[in-house]
Amino acid sequence: MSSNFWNHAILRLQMRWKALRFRISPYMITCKEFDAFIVDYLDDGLPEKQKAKFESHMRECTACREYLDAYKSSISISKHVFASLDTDLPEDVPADLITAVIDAQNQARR
Amino acid sequence: MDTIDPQAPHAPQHDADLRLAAQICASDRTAEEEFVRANISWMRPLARRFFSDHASADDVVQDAFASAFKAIERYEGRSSLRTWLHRITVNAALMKIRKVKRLDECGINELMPEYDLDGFRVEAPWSQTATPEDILDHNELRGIVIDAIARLPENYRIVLQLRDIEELDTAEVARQLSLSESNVKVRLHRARAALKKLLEPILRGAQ
Repeated sequence: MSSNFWNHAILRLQMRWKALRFRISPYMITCKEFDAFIVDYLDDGLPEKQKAKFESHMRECTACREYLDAYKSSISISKHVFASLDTDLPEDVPADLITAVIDAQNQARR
Repeated sequence: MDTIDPQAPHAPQHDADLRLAAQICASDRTAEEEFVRANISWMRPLARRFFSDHASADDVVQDAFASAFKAIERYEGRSSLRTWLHRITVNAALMKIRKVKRLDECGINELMPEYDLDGFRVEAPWSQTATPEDILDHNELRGIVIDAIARLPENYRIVLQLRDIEELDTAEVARQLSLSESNVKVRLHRARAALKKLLEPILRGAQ
């Protein structure tokens, strides 16, 4: 039998084991529930009990830890990129652009 | 325009801007010209951050002013006119990028995380990730991030822009967009999840 088959079988077993482990503990939440808590968790707005469940899931679940890291990275990259767009250096604008904007507004008003 | 009660909760703080907006609403040409001259000198460099060619940047500036004049009667003074116009300019630039590069709006549902029947995450393992330094040093980072945000559907993108880029709080975003706070949080999470998916090649160091 191919190693691919066994790898797949082991992966499925691991998933089933994880599901069982998370099911029998009343304190555990699923990854889907974890995702529903992320926004409040990052805003530090989760009630204590939910926060404990969220953090306990995060300790146990590598996939969610990695997911949250990537989720937070994409937020910080976007902030960084947009902050880099701002400039405090105003430039001289050609008079014809100013005229074009004002003319367009006059046209629109008619 | 209604009289503003300064004691009211969330009373606007930008009285001079509100007066100027009222004059523009009343078609006061001098006020319109003052508004254009006071802002165009920073809007054009901002637009040039999105487009290196002058013609496209100038189109963005013109589109932004056209949108601003149309929307100014709804300006409530919650943020300064400059912040308000900055948001409109960024939006005009993103729309122009989508048009010029013929980027399709992404289907938000296709970019959501996947789970198995037990509610557990199904995602390719993050065996390889780029370091924060690698990501920030990436030559095309700006273009990749801007294109990804431009592809988000408008009602998700605006929530992400206000919460994550402008850093307003959930309550303020809810007020500005006339949404419930829980709706803002749901849209924010979906927008962030979609953006994370769109940025995955760069986060995984594969691009």
